[in-house]
Amino acid sequence: MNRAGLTPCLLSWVVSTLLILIKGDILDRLVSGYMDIDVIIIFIVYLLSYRSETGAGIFAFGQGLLTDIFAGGIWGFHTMLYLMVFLFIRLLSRSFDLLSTFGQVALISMTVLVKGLLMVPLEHLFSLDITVTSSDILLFILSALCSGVIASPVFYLLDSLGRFKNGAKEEL
Amino acid sequence: MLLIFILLFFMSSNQERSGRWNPLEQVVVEITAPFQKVISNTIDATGNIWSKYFHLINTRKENIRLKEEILFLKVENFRHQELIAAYQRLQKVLQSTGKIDQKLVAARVIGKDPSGLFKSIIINKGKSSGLSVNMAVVNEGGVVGKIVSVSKNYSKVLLLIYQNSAVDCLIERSRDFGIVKGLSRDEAVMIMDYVLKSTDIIVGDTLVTSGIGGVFPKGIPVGTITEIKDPTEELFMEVKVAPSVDFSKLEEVLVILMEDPLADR
Repeated sequence: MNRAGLTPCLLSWVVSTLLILIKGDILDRLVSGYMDIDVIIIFIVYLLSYRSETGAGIFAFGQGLLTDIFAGGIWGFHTMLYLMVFLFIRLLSRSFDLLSTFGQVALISMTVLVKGLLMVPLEHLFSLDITVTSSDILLFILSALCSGVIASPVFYLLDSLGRFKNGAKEEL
Repeated sequence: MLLIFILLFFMSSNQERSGRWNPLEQVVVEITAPFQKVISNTIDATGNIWSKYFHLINTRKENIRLKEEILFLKVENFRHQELIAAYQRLQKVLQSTGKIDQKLVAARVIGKDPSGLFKSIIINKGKSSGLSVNMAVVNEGGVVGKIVSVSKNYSKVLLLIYQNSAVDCLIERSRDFGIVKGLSRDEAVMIMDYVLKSTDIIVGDTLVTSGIGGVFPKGIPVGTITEIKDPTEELFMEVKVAPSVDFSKLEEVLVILMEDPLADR
């Protein structure tokens, strides 16, 4: 990875880590824990589309691990969840044009929705008795759409930052 | 010149004068005084402007300083109000936990579960304050949870409302036993399991810790019975409990310092 690509990657790590630290307080103020704009998934797709596949994998693993550290309950739940999400994105990315806005929005929305639905059997696997109502499904869909919509501006910002750094270096 | 000198000499040495101007002097005064007046007024005016200008500058500086001081005092006042509120909360905690013999460590909640699934909090005390895994955490309401992870300066507390949490309780009035569990999804409702149909229980009964299990000392409030169902085909009653702690407003908690009761299991 060149030095220009390093800045968006670092920014992804920093922003995502900060969001994990404050996410609990934000979720606490929301009606339901299922309403979740998943920034980690947005960053995974960004790293996979514009940077390296290994970097995206490490990012998914690292952020899952970090969530596990700060979350209570079953150790390794989120690490496993985000690795599964990474594999899902990796598989599905072949069917989408990740450099187009539509491709990005569609892939991220689908991934966030699948992650939400994937959590239910996983929770049952870990003996958590979770009941999912129709309003929860609606919240999954809403989270997926919101995550998809904010993905494009995030991608644009990160990419512009990378180009800006690259341009500044070339001028020097 | 000599004549003028002699004249002035006589005028000045005139013993009969008593402060009054002679006609010549009066003429001189009348001619020069207006100029003096103008000069004096000008000097006075200049002096006034100068002093007022500096006074204004000083006033402006004073104004800025006072504004800064007001801002500082306001912030200080907010801080003091916050400290008084925290002190009052902690005083309530200490009053309610007066029956606890063990040492207590006060801690502040600095973070909440990022997953939204598992109910946990992060507190700002760890090993350096004597905390270790499985220590009980309480507040002025009652049982909050227990420590599940600890680092040098921070700890993770699993809340009682997490559905895999359970605490052995007894009904304060009838002294009957049961196990209270969380439901995760709803912070305002817990359930009481293994309540026999013969149990003397009514809505409004208070539940306290039984002390069995060793994590929580006996007699700490857990919740109040809100709903009782008695299904005919079941062995146990279905009992809903409102937690005595408001888990949405956790700010300060107390950790009961005791040796890990589950260490040798």
